[in-house]
Amino acid sequence: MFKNYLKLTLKVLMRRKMISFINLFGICFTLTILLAATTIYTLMVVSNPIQKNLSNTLILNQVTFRDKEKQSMSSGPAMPYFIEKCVSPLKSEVKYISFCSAHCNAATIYLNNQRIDIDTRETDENYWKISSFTFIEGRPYDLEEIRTNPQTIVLCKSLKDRIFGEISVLGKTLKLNNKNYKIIGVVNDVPAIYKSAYAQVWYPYNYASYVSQVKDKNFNSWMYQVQIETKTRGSFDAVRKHFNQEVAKLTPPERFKQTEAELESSSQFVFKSLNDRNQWQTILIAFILLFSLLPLLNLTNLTVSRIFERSSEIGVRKAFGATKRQMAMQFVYENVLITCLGGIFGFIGAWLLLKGIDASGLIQLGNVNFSFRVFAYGFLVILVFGIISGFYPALKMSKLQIVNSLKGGIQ
Amino acid sequence: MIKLTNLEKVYSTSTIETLALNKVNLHISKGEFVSVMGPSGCGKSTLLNMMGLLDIPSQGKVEIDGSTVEKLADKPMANLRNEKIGFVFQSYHLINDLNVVDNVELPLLYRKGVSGKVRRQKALTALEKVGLNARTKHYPTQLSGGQCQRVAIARAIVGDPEIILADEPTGNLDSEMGSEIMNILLDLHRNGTTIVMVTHDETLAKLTQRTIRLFDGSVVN
Repeated sequence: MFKNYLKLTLKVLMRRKMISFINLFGICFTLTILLAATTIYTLMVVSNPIQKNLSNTLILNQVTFRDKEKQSMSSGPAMPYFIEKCVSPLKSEVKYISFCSAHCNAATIYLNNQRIDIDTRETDENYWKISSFTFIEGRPYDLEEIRTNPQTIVLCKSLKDRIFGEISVLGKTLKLNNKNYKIIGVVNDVPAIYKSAYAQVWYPYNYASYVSQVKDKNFNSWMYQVQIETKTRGSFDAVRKHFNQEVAKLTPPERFKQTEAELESSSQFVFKSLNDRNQWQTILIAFILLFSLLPLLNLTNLTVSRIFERSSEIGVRKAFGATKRQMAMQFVYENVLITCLGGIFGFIGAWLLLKGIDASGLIQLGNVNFSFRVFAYGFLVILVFGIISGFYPALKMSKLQIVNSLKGGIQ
Repeated sequence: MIKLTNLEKVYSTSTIETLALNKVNLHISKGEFVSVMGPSGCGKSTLLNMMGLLDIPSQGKVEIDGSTVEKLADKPMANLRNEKIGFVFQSYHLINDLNVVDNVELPLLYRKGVSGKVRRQKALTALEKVGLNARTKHYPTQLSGGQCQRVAIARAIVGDPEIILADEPTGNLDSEMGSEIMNILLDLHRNGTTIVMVTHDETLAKLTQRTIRLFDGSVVN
């Protein structure tokens, strides 16, 4: 029977090519946008492959000082004095505290007299423990190397291939900003979408040494980000509470009266303007629903016309023994088939769109592969599309009196 | 085989009520070939629709092979139509998106336990009976009116129903085609099928065993 339905579905699609095209285009376009948005969201927040412990990580990216009237303010990355006073006391209750450049720094390499601008990031040893980089060769630098041999670096694969080709580069030297660095590791490329992880070259940052040199109450600007991996996600509240207590005790610099700083979860860090990932998920779901509503209504409408057009067929089928349920199932099945077909085009469209976004440099996504989660969500959307848009018209038509259906109308 | 008791059918709109059938009492025996005649709008097709369980009577009772059908739910009603009754419509009502053999297979799609292979075999046999086994892969739009009606008959008989209800089966055909279709129906009757045929054609009606005449929704003979 399903083979018969499949045949009929294809025939119906071919009969009214323009309507079929509009149908499929609507589904395809909607899914393309939804899948692309879901993939980007998933890559950024849910399944960041580099920062696997993101869900346990809190990020301190900015500290703000305000005066009493809150008319003037100064804000920037946390400075050593602030870290010593507010972050260091947390050491015993968290797994790791790590420091890295808040943003990538530009550096220059000359290759065959050609200038190559690259993105670098300074990090401490804990940075490699919080993140999960894939090392193709070598290893990250450790605390000992940071102290004794800070002229070591880790490269990303594409830069290594560009400079050295397909050979092992461990122990080789790279001149960066006119200084020689020894290569101790090569990692897979990190897409720029992973804000705290992306760079082409990573080199050591000796926080302890820097702190020992700074004077007390040094509030000078400092361009480093603090990442704190907690023992469990459940300990976020306790860590934050302790941190907030320390911030409240801090004496702000002169002319300021109040200090504001927040330990953000990774998703808050990615979407700074909102407070929680749940809010983003709610917005994403609302966006999906809204975006789906129009094509869904359109599809329902087209399905109604398509089914009404086949009223006589419904009459014939019922006259020869089809039950209401079988008729409803037939039309839902047909609709699901059509939406699945649109869905396949939607998957292809989303893949092309993501590749296009990546190639345009708008958002560097790296190698885009739909995760099982995205595929499952997409498939679920397709099914819901097919069932909802087919169910109501099918139910309505299946209830038609046979004699009215045979006359080709509804009464 | 078919028993109608005090059957009434009223078509209602917000302003008008039309009595299409008025207390019709009829009994059609097993194996009988009955024609139904009367002027246009007298209720012939309505009567046939009631017998074929295609419409619901406003009042009265329809019995098919001893079962009262008014109390039947959708599924047993559909099964009854599927197993006991075959329909031949004036305008054929073939599904244009399906080819001839798929159209003929249709009733068997809704019958439990009939495999695809058996379905195909039975459909080909039915097409052979109506002399259309050379056109199995054609689509209805590629056939003449007479050929379409023969496909419709093949579809009606493929499930070996005991009753064939034919609503002006020759109404859209020329006389030559009409008599070919009539011959097929007569053959079916000879093989024991109960046939009720609505017609305007006295010549065809004379070929049946009994003619029921309707006027303004009532049986008049």
